Amino acid sequence: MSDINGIMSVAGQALMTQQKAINVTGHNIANVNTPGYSRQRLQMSTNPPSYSDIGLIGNGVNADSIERIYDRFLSTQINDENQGLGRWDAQKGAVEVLEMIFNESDGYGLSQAMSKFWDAWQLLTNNPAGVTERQVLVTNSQVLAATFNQLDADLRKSQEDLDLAIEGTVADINRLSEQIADLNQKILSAESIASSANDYRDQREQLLKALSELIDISTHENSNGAVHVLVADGRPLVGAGQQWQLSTQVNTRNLHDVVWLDRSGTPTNIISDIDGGQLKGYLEVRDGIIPADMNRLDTLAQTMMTDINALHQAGFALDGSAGEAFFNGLGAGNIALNPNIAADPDLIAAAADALTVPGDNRQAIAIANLQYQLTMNGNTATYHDSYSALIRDAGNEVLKSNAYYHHQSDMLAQLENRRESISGVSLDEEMIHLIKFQNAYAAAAKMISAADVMLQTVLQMI
Amino acid sequence: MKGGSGPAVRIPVGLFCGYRNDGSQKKGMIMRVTQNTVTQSLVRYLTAQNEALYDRQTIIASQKRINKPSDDPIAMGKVLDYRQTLASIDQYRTNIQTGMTRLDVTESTLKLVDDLLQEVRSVGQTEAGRTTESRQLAADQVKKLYDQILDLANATHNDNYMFSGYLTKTAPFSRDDSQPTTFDQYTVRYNGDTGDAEFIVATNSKVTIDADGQPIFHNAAAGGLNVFDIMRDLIVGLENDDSDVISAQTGMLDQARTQINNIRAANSSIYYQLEITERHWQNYKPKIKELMAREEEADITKAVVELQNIELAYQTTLATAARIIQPGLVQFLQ
Repeated sequence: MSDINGIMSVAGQALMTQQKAINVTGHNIANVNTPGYSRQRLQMSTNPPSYSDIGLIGNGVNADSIERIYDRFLSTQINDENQGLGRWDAQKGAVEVLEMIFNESDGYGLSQAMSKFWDAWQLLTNNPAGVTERQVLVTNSQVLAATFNQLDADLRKSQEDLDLAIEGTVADINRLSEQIADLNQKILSAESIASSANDYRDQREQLLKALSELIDISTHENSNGAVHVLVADGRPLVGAGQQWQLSTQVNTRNLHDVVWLDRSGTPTNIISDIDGGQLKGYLEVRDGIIPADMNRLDTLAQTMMTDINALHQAGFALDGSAGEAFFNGLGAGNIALNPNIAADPDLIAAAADALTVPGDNRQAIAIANLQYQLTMNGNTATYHDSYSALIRDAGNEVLKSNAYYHHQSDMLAQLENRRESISGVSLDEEMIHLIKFQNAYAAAAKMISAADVMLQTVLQMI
Repeated sequence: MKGGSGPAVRIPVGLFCGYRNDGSQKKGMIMRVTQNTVTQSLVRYLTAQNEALYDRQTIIASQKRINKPSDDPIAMGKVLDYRQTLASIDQYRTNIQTGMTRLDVTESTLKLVDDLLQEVRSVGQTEAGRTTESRQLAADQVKKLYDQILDLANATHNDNYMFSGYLTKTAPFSRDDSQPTTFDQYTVRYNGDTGDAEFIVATNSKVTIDADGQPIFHNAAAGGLNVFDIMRDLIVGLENDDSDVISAQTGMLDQARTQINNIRAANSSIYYQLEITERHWQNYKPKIKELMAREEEADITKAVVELQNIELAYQTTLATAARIIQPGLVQFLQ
């Protein structure tokens, strides 16, 4: 085929091929800022040569396929790290809220309320029959109880907020897995015709990354190109063109458990199998840290109530009657000053004997001294110690989450960087390619006009 | 700021270094750095620097190193302890002040009682060698002094009787006015009990002030003297013109004064004890404050120097960004 038509044909194919290459370059430039986009390259190869009297003669260029440049191991690594990042991001946000609830750095809070409460008891010892002293104690006791109530309510509120976040996350997971299943379908049908559905694959990777931020997943790609996603100890979430649903179910604590629904819609509780992603962070705080904090607060309120009530009931009010319970309630959530005492501060039992009122302050002294006694943690800590430990631990939780979060975020940044270095579009590079392909296009066009001149020359010979 | 650790700005790792997945560096191979690599890492740098700037700004504005428990959980616990100690110290000092005021009032009351008893004594002494007429006048004078002393024995402080033990709303001493004879009229009953006034002055430590009026005024049952009985007998002696009784009771008055002055001496040693405790708290408080400040307060100089360092880094990054983001091959074509 070393005739003039052959030259024309080689040049024509070269024109087409360079044009395709410019098209791919344009696609790259257009998507320079598209998240998850992998740059593409037109794969070119030489056409099979023809035999001629001088040996094999080349037949020009062929555009084989459009290839996506990426590292498939990298995206798995990115998803793995993203699970950790999602988890600690969620946990960090949640424990920072708890820290805010317990923040005593400005001097207001339970610690302060307890101090004032004990001081009010001491004040009463100075003048056990004093109307003002009794009223001060009533007020400070009410403030203490209200502070306990508020802390408990705040913890419950943040628990409910996390519960809502968990429900929202489950809905997001379902939406993403539906989209992934849909893309699986598109890739299957596209790749039955073309070689590689590059853009769909990029989109699918982007969705898998988003999914891994919500829950820990494991993925594998079938030979036909469909990706299978497993969650929570190997339960299928996405298959080739099909998906399974996650849902939520109210549990005995009136919070929502995460369940996986099988084909018949039978739910399985997967809470203990979730090990990463935002869901893990939310669950950890909602079911672990907050209940523990509420427990410690309850124990503190209960111990104070029991100890103070025991002494107060052994004492005697200003009218000589035996002391009533000072505090009512079952825990931090509903501790309250006995309403009878609130209505009549004379019922505060400061005396140790019915006959020694009104000047006897011995019972008030005994109660005031409770603050120094090792009443908490198996008689190793005072009330105050036990509460400072709670605050200290709240601070440590934030420090821990922060450290993990920053570690994960650094790891991910490194991997993303690596991904960008392989798959990212460089505008400089694309410009060079553009000029290169443009020049090749111009040269091929020149060849056509050269062949045309040659043909004219031949024709004029006739 | 995390754990008080220096001015470190968090630098994202792995930027601009050509490492492969297996950790080996590609020899002679240039890592592809795209525009997005540059812009993304710039965003990360600037975010980290802004965070560091914000941290220093918070420290400088609040003058505090600990603005939330996670800034230093251990120190936060200590600060709470110190703060509670400070509140306790204030309360102890209030208690001590209350005790001292009570002792002040007691002392001035008993001082007056002593002065009045001395007056009674000098009346008795003068009358020992006088006439009947003047003795009747003297008896009336002693009766007035008697009433004054009885009023003082029933003195109140903050609406509480000081000498009736726990029964602070009951007048400790009363006499029977309905009886016709002087003897009966000037016989006094004690209505209080033996209770004390106790004050919390330190952790698990109390100071006890005697509130029982009997050892002071009405101590015959316990082997001491009954001040009122002595005066009653003097009045009766004066009215009956009995020189022996007058001089005997006058002598007893000295012993009565000693009884009261012994109580005053005991009170003054309690006062001293309170004063020492108060001085202890006064000295202790600034020490606790200093310890708390050491945990809580920011080293402003350090924070400012750090701020300047970070600011410099921040501005340099911005300047670099402006230089490297703008140009591309596109600008140089055409």
